[in-house]
Amino acid sequence: MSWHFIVGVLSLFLSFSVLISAEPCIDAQATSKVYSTANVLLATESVFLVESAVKCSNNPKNLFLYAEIDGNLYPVPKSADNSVHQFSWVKPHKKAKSGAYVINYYDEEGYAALRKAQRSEEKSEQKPLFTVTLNHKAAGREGLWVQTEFIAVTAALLVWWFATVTKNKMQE
Amino acid sequence: MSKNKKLTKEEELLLQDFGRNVSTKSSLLFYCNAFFVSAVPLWLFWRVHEMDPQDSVILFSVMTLICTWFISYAYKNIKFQLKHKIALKIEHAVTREVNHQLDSKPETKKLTRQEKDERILWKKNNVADMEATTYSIFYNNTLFLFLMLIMSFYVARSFNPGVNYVMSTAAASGFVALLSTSSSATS
Repeated sequence: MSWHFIVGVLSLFLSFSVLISAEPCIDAQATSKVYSTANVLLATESVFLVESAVKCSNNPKNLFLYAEIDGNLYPVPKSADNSVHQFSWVKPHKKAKSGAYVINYYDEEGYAALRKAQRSEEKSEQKPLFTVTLNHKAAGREGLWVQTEFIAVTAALLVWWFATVTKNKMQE
Repeated sequence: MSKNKKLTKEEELLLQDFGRNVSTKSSLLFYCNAFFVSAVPLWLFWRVHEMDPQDSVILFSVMTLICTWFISYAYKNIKFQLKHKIALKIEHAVTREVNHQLDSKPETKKLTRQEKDERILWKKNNVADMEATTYSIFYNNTLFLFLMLIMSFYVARSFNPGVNYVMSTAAASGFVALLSTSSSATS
C-alpha cells in the first residue's frame, strides 16, 4: 500500500510541476521562415523546415509548442536561448508531393484539448496559436539537364575536331 | 656534296628555313604560349576543384613548367611537319605575287633570275613559317585543353584534387608531345 501511495504522490507532484512549468501563450505572434528541398541531386530525401520566432503578450518563460500536420501532433524543439522554435521532417522525394503544407501550432493547453477531442473522436474547436503554410515545389533537377562538365568537354572536343580536320587538309 | 663541301647560299638558306631548329623569336613565342596554356588548368583546379593556390603553389609551379616544356616540344614538332606542306601549297601563289610585285617596279624589274628566285624563296619561307607557327600553337592548345578536361572531369574525377591535377596535366601534356612525334614519324 505504501508503495502505491508513494508512486501516486510522485505522479501527482510531477504532473503538477509540469502544469506549473508549462505556461500558455496569449496573443501569439509568430514570424516564420520556411524551407523545403528543391534540388533532387543535392539531397537524398526531401526536407521540410519551419523556423518560428514566437512572441506572446504574457512572455512565458517556458513555452512548449506542438505542431499539428495532417491530424498528427508533434512536439516542436526550441533553441537553447528560447528564441526560436524549429520544426522539421523528412520524406522520400517521391512521397513529398508538391503543394501547400499547413502546420498548426498549439501551446500545451491547446495540445491537451486537441488530444482530448481526438481521443473522444470529436471535432476539435481548439484554435491554433498560429498557422504556417509551407509551399513545397516537388524537388526536381534544377538548372541544366546536362552537366556543365559535359558541355565544356564537348566544346573542347568540337574545337579540337575542327583543328584536326584543318590540319589534315593542310597535310594532304 | 662530299666533293663540294661548301654549301651554296641557297642551300644554307634552305637548311636554315626548313631545319628542325627554330629561331629565337619563334622559340620565345612557343615558350610564352605554352606557359599560358599550361597555366589555364590552374583556374579549373582552383575554382572548380577547390584547391588552395597558396598550399599547392609548389605543385602548381612544377607541373606548369613541365607542361610548358612538353607543349613547346609539341609546338616545334607540329610546326616542322606543317611548314613543308604549307610551303609546297603556297609556292605557286607566292611566286606569282612576288613576280608581279617585282615586275611592277622599274628598279626591281631588271633583277637576275637567281635574285628573283631568292626573294621568292624568302617570302615563301616567311609565310609558311608564320602559318605553321600559329597553326601549331592553335592545334596543340585545343588538343591539350580537351585532354586535360576529359582527364580531370571523367578519368581522374574520383581522386583528390591534387592527384587529379598532376594526373590530368601530366597525361594531357605528355600525350600532346607523344602525338606530335608519332605523326612526324609517319608523315
